[in-house]
Amino acid sequence: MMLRLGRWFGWAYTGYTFIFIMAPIVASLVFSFNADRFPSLPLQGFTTDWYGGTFTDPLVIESFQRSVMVSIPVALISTILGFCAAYCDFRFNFRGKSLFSLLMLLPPTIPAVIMGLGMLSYLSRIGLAGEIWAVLISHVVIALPFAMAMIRLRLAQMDSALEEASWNLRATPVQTLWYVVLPFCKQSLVAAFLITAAVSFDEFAVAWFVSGLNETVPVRVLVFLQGQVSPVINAIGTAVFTSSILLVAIGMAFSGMGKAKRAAADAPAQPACGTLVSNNGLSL
Amino acid sequence: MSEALVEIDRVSKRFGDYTAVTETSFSIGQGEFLAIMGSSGCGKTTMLRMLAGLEEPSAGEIRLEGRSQKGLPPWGRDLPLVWQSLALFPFLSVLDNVGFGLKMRGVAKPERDRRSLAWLQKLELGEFASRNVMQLSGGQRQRVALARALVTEPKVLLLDEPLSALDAHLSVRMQALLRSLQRELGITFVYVTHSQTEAFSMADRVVIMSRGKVEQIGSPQAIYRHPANRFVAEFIGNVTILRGSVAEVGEQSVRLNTANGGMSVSRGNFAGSHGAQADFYVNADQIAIGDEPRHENHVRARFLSHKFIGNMVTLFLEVPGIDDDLKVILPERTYDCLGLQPGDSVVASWPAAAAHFFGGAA
Repeated sequence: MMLRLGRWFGWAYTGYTFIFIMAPIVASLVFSFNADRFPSLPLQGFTTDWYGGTFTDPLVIESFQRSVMVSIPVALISTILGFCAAYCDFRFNFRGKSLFSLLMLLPPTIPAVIMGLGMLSYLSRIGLAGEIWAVLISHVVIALPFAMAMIRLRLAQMDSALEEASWNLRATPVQTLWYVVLPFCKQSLVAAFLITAAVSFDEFAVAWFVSGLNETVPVRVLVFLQGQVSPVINAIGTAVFTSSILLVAIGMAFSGMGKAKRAAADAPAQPACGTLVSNNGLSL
Repeated sequence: MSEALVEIDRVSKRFGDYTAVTETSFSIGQGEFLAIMGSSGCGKTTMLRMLAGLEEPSAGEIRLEGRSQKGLPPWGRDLPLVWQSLALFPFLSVLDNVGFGLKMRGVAKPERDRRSLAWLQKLELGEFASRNVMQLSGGQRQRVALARALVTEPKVLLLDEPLSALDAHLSVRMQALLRSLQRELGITFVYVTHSQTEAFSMADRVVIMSRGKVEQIGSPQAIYRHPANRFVAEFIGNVTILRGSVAEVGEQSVRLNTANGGMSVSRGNFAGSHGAQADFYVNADQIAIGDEPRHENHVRARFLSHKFIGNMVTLFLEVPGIDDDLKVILPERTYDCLGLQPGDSVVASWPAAAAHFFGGAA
């Protein structure tokens, strides 16, 4: 009896947590289709006007294009550098290694405002502030630790004899990296790519500092909000949320696929990537 | 065993302050099955890793067919290893795992697949070629690892405790497979293990290592019958070590005074003189048990316990004046006929030919 009560309570608590997290997003989704200009109940009827209006607005379209143009190279660079850093940490012992690892994982712990200010003052000094490059560089700094953590976790599951076995079969270290280490990490590389893309796509605070006139989607949304209360925000929010959650879900599916396909010996993939993403949150 | 294929010449290996292998020398013959045996930390795995080039000796030299291997990286050597963890590539099919070494040697895919498949079929794994290695059982994976190492037709195969993860039944079958494979291919196997059963059942020669040093090298029979020193005797565990002072050195045997009276020990090449203290050992399977002494050396003992090993029984007897238990190995039927109960008093006796000095036997 107690056990059933406990289980019931567990479900209720989990449900409550989900409602707490999801309610604002659902509200945004619902109001994005509401005919009333103001987000109030009762609902006034169904409309897609806000979407139509939003996605013909050149400023919104440009910001979307910019976000995509930034997030894909960011994901690519972060994944490559993340792999390099993770492999360094995995394979080599060197002086100051713990400091190296600490610095690698530091950026997400820095408050976004501080990070944004720091980036702005540095990038303006080298003449990049307000350029699209500034957003790209800043986002690589922010996204890299996520990529590194995910790939490092995968490497930790690799039998260290695997590389030695490859050398023993006459593969050079470079061939071993290509034919053994990278294939072993493949799923976590894809997952890291998608999740760093999502991190960049959603990031607001730092982009707000450094983007200047090159607004990304989250920055554009804030500009909208400052001007007016408009259901257009809900429409953009819903679109951004959908695309981000898709990226994350595909990323998770890739890291989870390893779990389903391989037996116990080849341990499960990144259980931590869910937490990593929620740390950063969806910045809207 | 003919001429030496691998020579290990005064090799040492240090890791910081820790010395894993100390000035070790021995050679391995063409077509020989050599087992390196010892408890964990004795340096046997380090020795194997130095052969494979995964560790570089701190001093000394390893030669393969007379050529020094110094400075050759693992990928520059032709000494495939079968790993304790098997280290199969989880993202490759069984066939591609086996073909990996050929691929790295630049063998084209059709040829590679043909040769890999031939090896898989030889080891009765042909039907699993396209499977993922993770879908195989432990014994099947074991054979994949073996095929992967042998497909490049090496002169020497290194094996690092490959059977330690298998259950007893499977391990015995694999031992038979390894032995027949080695005979058939005529290549050299260097087999590292902590298991006496594995080493003694397969190897032509056994190297016993302890704390980075070789304690004894010899055929399983020689090591079993004539341990070179106290360490080997205790490690193999089939003899009891006794001590006495020399009373008389005869033609065939040496007479000693022990805590349990006078005893005769085979002389061998014993060179001690009158009054010297000497250790000697008695083979457990050459001791008779009864109410009366049946041989010239005898002690009265108290039966403590017994242990079955297959169809043989090891008896542990308490003898006044000896720290260790006196070990006696009897056929199970003989043991049954005795009808011993713990605490019973018995007479254990043995001929002079069952007792030897360490290093004394020719």
